[in-house]
Amino acid sequence: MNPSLCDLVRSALLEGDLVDTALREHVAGCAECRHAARAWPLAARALTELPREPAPRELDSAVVAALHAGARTERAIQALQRLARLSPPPQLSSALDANSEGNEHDAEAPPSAEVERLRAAGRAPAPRVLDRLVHEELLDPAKAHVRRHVGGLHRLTAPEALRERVADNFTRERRERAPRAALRKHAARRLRLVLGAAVAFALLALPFLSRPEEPDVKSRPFRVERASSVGALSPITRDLLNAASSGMSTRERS
Amino acid sequence: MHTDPDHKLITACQQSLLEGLEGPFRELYELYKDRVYNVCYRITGNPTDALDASQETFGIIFRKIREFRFESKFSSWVYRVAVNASIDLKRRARGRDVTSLEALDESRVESDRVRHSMADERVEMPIRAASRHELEEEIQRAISRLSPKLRGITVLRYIESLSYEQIADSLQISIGTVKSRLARAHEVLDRELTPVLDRYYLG
Repeated sequence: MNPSLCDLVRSALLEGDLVDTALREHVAGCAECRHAARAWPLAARALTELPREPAPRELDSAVVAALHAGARTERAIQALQRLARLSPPPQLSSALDANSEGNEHDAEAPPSAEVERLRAAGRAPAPRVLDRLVHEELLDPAKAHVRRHVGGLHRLTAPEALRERVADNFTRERRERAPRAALRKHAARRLRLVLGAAVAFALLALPFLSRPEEPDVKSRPFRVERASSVGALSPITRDLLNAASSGMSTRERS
Repeated sequence: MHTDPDHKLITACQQSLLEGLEGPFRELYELYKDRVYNVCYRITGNPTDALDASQETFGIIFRKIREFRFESKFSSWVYRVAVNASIDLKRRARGRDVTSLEALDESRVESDRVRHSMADERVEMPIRAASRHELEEEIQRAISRLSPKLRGITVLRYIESLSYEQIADSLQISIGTVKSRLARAHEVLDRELTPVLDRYYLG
């Protein structure tokens, strides 16, 4: 294998013209170049014959969305660039003067804490949300990138047709719901009537249902005696009768 | 200064207040969308990524067209942006590449199934079509296995039929580098494709 001739053969193969006699002779004797001379044109042909795909229709809308988002970002950047820089607070110059007077002999001395405080007051503070955004960016740049893009997407306003469609649906639903509501109302009224009647019946029937049964005389745990006068009663019975009638029975006897 | 065939259109884009896909930029888009999509499709290897990469390409062109100074051909710049956007996208979605290779394997199994069923029915034309489809998949798979640099050059050379000078201009490398990379790409493709190509072209 002759490296320089092999390189020349490959170069000629890429150009598609292996016409040089010396190269052809080399190819005949070099197995690698012979293989390349056979395989490379086939690969080139196969690649060239790959079908060309037309750009899909979705590409149009995808590009439109990307351009809108990009244009808005650009406008925002321009607006930010146009923003006026904050001017330092008036106290800063006087504090600086005082500081420089105090440090006349030491130009390299660090500025006083007061000057630092005033300088800090002159700077616009970074918004708090920046911490979170930077954190997200560092944690997962790809996700942060996607979020930025999605956030920048153009928000569409709902079309008028949607409002009409919702209004239609609402009206239709109300219309469908109206007979059902009337039916429910009627059923409730009937139920109330039935319940009222049931309660009234129960109240009326209660005395009859709760009347005690006639006691069975045989099973009574006391004895019935008949006496023609109070005096004929036993002394215990007489006392009971006296107590129950508040002395009436005794008076009657006397 | 190059005499760019798109000079007028580009100047119109640069001078007008571009507000989206309209006016001269729309014309430019129509002119380049198929070229861009094909480059992205062959480099990324699947339509979804190709769509994303094409979208990104046109977004970059839209934002930077004012800065274009005709130091190279406009088409070369467009190709450069498309190649870089596709390679970047593949790099970012390396995880998804595994899935797409699996999908390709599945489609190979499917095409094998189709081929066998066709052979059973002894139908001449569909066999050829199925085999052509299989070949295209093999070629696309072989392109996907190339390194990003070799992939870009192979696509520009054989899919877009650019000359070495145009490729060098697009990728901002020397013609010598283009040739040596293309030769390396052929070495790799050779290993991958020779059996398939022999079967297809030489029977």
